[in-house]
Amino acid sequence: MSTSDRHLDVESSKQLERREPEAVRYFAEHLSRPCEVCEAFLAREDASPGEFPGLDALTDEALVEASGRPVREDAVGWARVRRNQGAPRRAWLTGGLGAMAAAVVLALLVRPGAGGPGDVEPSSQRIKGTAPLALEVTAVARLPDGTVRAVAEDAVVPPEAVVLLRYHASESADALLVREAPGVPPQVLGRHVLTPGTHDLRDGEDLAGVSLEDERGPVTLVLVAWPQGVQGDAALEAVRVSGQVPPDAAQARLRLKVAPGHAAP
Amino acid sequence: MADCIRRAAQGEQAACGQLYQRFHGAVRRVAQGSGTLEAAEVEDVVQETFVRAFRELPRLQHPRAFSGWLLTIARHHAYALSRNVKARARAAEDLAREADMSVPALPPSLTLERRVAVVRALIEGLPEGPEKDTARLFYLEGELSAREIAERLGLGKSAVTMRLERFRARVKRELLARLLAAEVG
Ligand SMILES: [Zn+2]
Repeated sequence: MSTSDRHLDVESSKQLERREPEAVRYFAEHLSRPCEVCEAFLAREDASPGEFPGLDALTDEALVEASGRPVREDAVGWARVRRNQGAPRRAWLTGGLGAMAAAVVLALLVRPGAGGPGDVEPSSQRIKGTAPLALEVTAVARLPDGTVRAVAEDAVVPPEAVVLLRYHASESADALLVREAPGVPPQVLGRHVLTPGTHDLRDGEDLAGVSLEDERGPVTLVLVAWPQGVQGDAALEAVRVSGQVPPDAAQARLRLKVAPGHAAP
Repeated sequence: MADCIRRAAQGEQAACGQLYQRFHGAVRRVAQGSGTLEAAEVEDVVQETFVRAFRELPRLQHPRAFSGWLLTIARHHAYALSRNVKARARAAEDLAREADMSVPALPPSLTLERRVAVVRALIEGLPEGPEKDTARLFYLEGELSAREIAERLGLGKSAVTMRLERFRARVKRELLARLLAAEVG
């Protein structure tokens, strides 16, 4: 084979991997022009792992940036990722608490029926603790086609929906968003800081969406909150260490039923 | 961005969320361009990619390697879904290696800006025809999926995927030439 028709193959890619100067020099020149043979080699499916390390990454980065299109927000996908990551997250459960201990804590924390059904209003629940913090939640469901519908208490929603919560708090509060479903321990979906007034529940800059993927049947979202302040961090620590909810915690609950094929009402 | 990646590596959800919102489009694009996946499968690739990336993030050595590393994971997951069992096993092997990937400083001819310019110039340089239309629609306009491009151009989906793969190999060839030229000095 004369040098002029040398193309990339398994042998030459090994030479390049070993940084053999002659091969490096030859292919730096040869590959600077289109070559169907070499491109076919680079496109083949059965490339060995680690061949030309980093080249795929360099290529994909450039290809996906070429359009320069702004990226739309994807609350649905992010909510799914969060669910798939599994809760509770160590972001708030620091200090070596394992998932098992966390589940026990939460079983204490979220007593079924706390607040009582008598307090429930059709689409907005007000459940007062013993202290003045007043808390309400309302919700909307965002569907994959982008439509957003209000969700009433006991609404039937499809598993493709992502539930976005809106709260009203009478004062600044630390809060946990917890998911309850029959037969499984309560699951913390996130820790939030509530500000006085009516706001979307956020996670940093993002809306805190709850994905219902893989859910079937009843599921309840519970926002548990207690006044923020000097004792705020101490209260969280107490939850961690002993499972004790601050006595002035308030809860707002939203019961849903997940069933395929139903659009949110 | 580097700070955001470090916070995400410590499990901070807000930082993970920011990374997701910044990169989900790029990950989806890689999945859409690297196989014959259905729309739902593409979304699964996006999911698996981010779940895996957030789990492995503490192992990533350099924040600046993040986007390339993330897209490598996406490509492997897309291959794993669309190819055979053997490809899947190799994808797993490859992934273990990628996390440790050292990132040499890039020569000036390979900054992201220069690489994007390479992509655009290569598309411009293609002769008018279905190959150029396909690359332009997918990579420059960046909105349609391979399936939608096939419908618009009246082609089979595999023909579109093949053209995208061929164009991608062209970009790889040009970037590899630059990598090697930087070594020659
Ligand atoms: Zn060649």
